[in-house]
Amino acid sequence: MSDHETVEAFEEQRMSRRGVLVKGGVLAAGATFLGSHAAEAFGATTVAKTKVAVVTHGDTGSFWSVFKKGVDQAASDLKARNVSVSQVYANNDVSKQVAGLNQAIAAKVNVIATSVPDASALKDPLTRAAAKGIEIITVNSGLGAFDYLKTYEVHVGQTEDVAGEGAGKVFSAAGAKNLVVVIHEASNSGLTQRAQGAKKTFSGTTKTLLIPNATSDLPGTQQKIAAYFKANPKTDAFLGLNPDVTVAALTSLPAGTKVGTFDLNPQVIPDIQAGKILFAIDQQQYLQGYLPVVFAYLFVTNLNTVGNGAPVLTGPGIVNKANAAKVAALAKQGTR
Amino acid sequence: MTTAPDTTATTAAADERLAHVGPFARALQRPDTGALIGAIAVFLLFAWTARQVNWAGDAGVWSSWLNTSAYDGIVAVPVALLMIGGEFDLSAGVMIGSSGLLLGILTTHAHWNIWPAIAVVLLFGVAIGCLNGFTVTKTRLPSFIVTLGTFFMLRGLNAGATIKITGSVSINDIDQAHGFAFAHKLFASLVWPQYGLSVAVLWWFGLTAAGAWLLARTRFGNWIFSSGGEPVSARNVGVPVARTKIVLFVMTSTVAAAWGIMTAVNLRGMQSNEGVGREFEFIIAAVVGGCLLTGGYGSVIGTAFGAAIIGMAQIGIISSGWDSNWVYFFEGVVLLAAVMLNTAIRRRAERAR
Amino acid sequence: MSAAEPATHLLELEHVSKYFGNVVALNDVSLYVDAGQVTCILGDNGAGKSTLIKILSGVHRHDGGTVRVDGREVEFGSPRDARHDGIATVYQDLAMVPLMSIWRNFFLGEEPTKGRGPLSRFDIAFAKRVSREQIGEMGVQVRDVDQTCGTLSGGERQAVAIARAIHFGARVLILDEPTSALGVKQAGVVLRYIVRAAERGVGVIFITHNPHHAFPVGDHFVLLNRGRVIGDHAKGAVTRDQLVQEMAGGEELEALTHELSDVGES
Repeated sequence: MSDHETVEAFEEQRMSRRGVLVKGGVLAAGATFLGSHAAEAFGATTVAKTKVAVVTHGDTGSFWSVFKKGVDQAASDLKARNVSVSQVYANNDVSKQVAGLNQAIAAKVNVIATSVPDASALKDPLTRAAAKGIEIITVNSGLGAFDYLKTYEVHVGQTEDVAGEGAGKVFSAAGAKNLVVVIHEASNSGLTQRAQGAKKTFSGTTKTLLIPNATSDLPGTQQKIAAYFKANPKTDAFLGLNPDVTVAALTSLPAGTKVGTFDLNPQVIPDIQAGKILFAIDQQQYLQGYLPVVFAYLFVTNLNTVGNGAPVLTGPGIVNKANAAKVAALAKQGTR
Repeated sequence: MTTAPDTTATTAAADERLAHVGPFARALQRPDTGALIGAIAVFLLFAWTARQVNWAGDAGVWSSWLNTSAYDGIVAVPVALLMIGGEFDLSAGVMIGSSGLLLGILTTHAHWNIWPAIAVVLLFGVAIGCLNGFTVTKTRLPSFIVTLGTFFMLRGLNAGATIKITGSVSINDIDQAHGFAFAHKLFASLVWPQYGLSVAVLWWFGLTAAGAWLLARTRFGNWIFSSGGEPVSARNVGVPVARTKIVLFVMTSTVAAAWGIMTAVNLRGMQSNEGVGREFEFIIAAVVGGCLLTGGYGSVIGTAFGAAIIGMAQIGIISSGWDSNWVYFFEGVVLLAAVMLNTAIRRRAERAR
Repeated sequence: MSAAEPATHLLELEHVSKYFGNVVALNDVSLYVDAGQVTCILGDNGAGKSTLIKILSGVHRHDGGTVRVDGREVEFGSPRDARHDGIATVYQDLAMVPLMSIWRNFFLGEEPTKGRGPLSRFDIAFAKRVSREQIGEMGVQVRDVDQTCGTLSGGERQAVAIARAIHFGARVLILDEPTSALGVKQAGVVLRYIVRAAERGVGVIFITHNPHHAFPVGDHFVLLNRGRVIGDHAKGAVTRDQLVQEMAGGEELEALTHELSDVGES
């Protein structure tokens, strides 16, 4: 072969190799979308792109900020593996959550990770997402709500009623007789389930007190809780479903009241160590944010699925005086 | 100087019409009287339904609802003045959280003494008030819209900036700051420890008195009424309408910032959700107190009664042992009844327009 | 019968014109008013009355001719300047706030104060007393100055507006269509106030499109049509019917009457 021909042949080869790469890449992307083995068959050198939409009803409080830290950390850890994550926090506004889901569908994401404060409201968008082949993971709330959808994978969270039952058992063991559970958000089925769970296992009588939007007026909440105890003087146990509410309530409770709370904030652990709070139910919301992103990546790139019909439980972990010290440093970081 | 001929017939007719308005009816025409009667009615209602906690006689129960009323009543004062001046501030609620968080960041992360931190937070309030005021007066957009924009900005700041600076969305341990002890005494202590009456109630009374005096007895008060009632006519006779409104916006944001400081000192910390949604409670207190939503008419004393009604309703419902799942419904009924009573009394006493 | 015209008038326009682009709003308008006299400016809508008022009250600057106050030539840069020279304008909305009381309205923008600094307070006792007195000078006895202005009749509100203007030093009072929105009886009451104001020494410029209202109170009638002065008569030199005829609509109405009578006959 002449030099000229060698060069030509060489260039031809190079171009066709590039052609293979381009085509392979496109096919790989397509294969990712369809979830078939085609990606590996073509031997594409780029990792398939994973697009995840995390859509929750969360607000800007301390609970959801830990969740968000989990999502952010997973997104950062997996960025090199071509995973991109979008997040929507609807602040308890269901219509905003529906809008976020619709956006995700329009953006053709691979996986939707969503919380379910209200199953009937989210039914339409999630059914559409399933029809389009988008994988669905429920987080934090909504266990069992969407098992029937074709592309449903798993629930990552704490079952609210089981968590509530755990709390009820601790109060019973502590010898309390009259429990009040403060519900701080008006239409959140998860909170109601927790209260019902506690009622089931608590040996004494359980009453609930609804204080709508309690976290936006904590001083006012303190007054209302004090008024409740004044009107119900036999009450000797208090269960808060939000750590900010519980910590604020401490000054309003009569001495000797047994106090339990759901979820941690930086103040809860020192209060447990000081004996002001008996226990905290930790649902490890950091995991609820972190794990779905990892599951999404594994599903898209390797067709791995998790759970096999059962939820991945992130709680209830019970934090009490015995183990508080170890969890303390992590809570200060904002990851517990 | 001769008098104009034959005006006596007109003036006699005018006197006839005026003869029926005695001092009692005149009192009923005031916007605050209706609110006072509404507050007394609500009090009596709970005196009956919450009798097992001795609603009427127990000083601890009085403290309970007075405190709750003060928590709305303090910011309701400038919100009422602003409403009478014809404008709304929807950012007044979230401002509480923003200022508390700012105080927390300055004291626990920058380790400032609490007093210069308080000064900076109040200046922040002034700045946001100026932002609201200048935007509304220069663009002539409805204040509802402009302050809604400020609301969203502050909301985002509360979460975003706090996380960026501190790594979490709540601030704790403000009580570690230098100067905290006196700040706590001034802003969050109990005036009557055995009954739990908070010093916030004194602040509420004081601010209400100052606001009422400003409205009824100063030149600026006249400007507030006219800026809300007929801003064009007011401007034509030389009232500085734009300046008046800007001052009112600054007052609202600054008092909201002050309340944020007081709340943060009380709770020894602040989380970023505080205050969101409260802006409507302030507006309700003002409306129940006799302020017209369209501006130009109202009373600061009436607004205090309005805040008292809200506080009594919230505590009274719990003290009466009513099923707390109905709390929204009950609050709505009590407030609606109070407003209707107020309006009915005023209409009956007023002559036809 | 008025005495010989004084050499200098309280307020005078000499050959004044005003253009907006190439629209001639006023063309060579001359008129004057003296203290204690009522000058009526009559014209239908579109005659140029509102432009005239705006020039007199300082909102617009005139383009041609001269404006004199007390014989001295002036140029009003703003309504403030006009007010400073004692020229007060009462517009149709009366610059009143219906939701506020009479005494608050009376002193709006000019509130009397007692005390100094942050404790300077609105001298309410003074305001109530003086507003009651000044409105009384118009012949109206108000028993309760705490009434809101919204509860006053149209005529009473005019009395308050006029009394206010005079109290704050108006030497010339320009009234823009004060009777146009009122019923017959109320209009009559307002005409009495106009006479009263003149009796108190003010020079009144009474602007209206109703010659029946102007005729009884005017000392001097200026007719305006399409920006020009088409007639200028002293009282006694003209009858009411002549005024009606001369105003825009006089000729057209006559032609219409002829047409209608023709139709009736055929």
